[in-house]
Amino acid sequence: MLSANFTPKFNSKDIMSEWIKKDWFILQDAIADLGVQLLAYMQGFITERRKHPETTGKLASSIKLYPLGGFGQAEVGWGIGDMQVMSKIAPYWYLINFGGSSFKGDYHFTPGYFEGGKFIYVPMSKEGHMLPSGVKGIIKPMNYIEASRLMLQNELYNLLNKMANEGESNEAKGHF
Amino acid sequence: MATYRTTRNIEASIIDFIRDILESTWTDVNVEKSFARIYEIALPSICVSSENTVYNKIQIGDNSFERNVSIIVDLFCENDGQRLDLKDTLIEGLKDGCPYYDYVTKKSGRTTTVDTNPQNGRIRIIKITDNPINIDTEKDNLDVHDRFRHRLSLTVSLGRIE
Repeated sequence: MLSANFTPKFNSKDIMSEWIKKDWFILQDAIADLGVQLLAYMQGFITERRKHPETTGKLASSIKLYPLGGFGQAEVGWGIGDMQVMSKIAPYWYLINFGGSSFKGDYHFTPGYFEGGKFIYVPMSKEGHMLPSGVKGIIKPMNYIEASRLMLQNELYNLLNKMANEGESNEAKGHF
Repeated sequence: MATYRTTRNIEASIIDFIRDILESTWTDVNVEKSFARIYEIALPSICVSSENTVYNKIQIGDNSFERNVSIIVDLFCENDGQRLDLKDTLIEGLKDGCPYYDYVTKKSGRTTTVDTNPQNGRIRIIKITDNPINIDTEKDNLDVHDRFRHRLSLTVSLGRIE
């Protein structure tokens, strides 16, 4: 087999850091701004898709932005949504995102269904597989976390791309 | 005769591909696209649905875009071991992408079935994340379908300009 193998004599990490150094404050500002935009996106996503317009909006308002780092620091970042805070204000946040059966174990559950006003008891099998068909109370997943993650991924990619392109064009013009 | 549009083609192609992966290694795994239906059928079951899509403009002054679609694969299992094995089987199968089909349906009486589905490219998997889903309630008190769940979130693209 005739083969050729080339190893570039540069470190991509160095190139990234060199580029970031030049535009650090612009990047810091843009990332901070992205956090605000993403928070608004997530809250809007939830509000638009809520089933009952008269709901309190606790879930959307329980999601907050937590900045990390800041001006003058060699760091920029943020987190959206603190699970402890959300669990306190809107404990159903998890079920709304991932979906599931709304059945809770705080009371006894008798498997069966109503037919013509009469309750028909259906014993549950040993494996617990038996469930009466047409179980009520299934919450469809809203997937607001996944939707926001996709948006973040996309926006971050666009932002870095834009900055890299601007950096290249400035370099061509001799601006630093 | 009707044809599926892109998002529906992606969703159906992934469902078919998952069925193919499981056919050779697993038995009796249901693959569904309706979340509510999962709660009416036996475990283990998988629910596949396409969710949000983001569209990236290719260049300024052009309306062409590239789409990235979010696909959610929810696993409903009988126990923890099965949950982990099933998700690894799926990740191993999906990581290299899968064929993309154009589905054409035909109607016969009241039923509509897939007539043809010629391959028209491949679906690229851009990102996979997997998370266990632990609803904060005693397992015994949960619906049997909610006890051992796992979620794969895929970001996929056709890698083509539309």
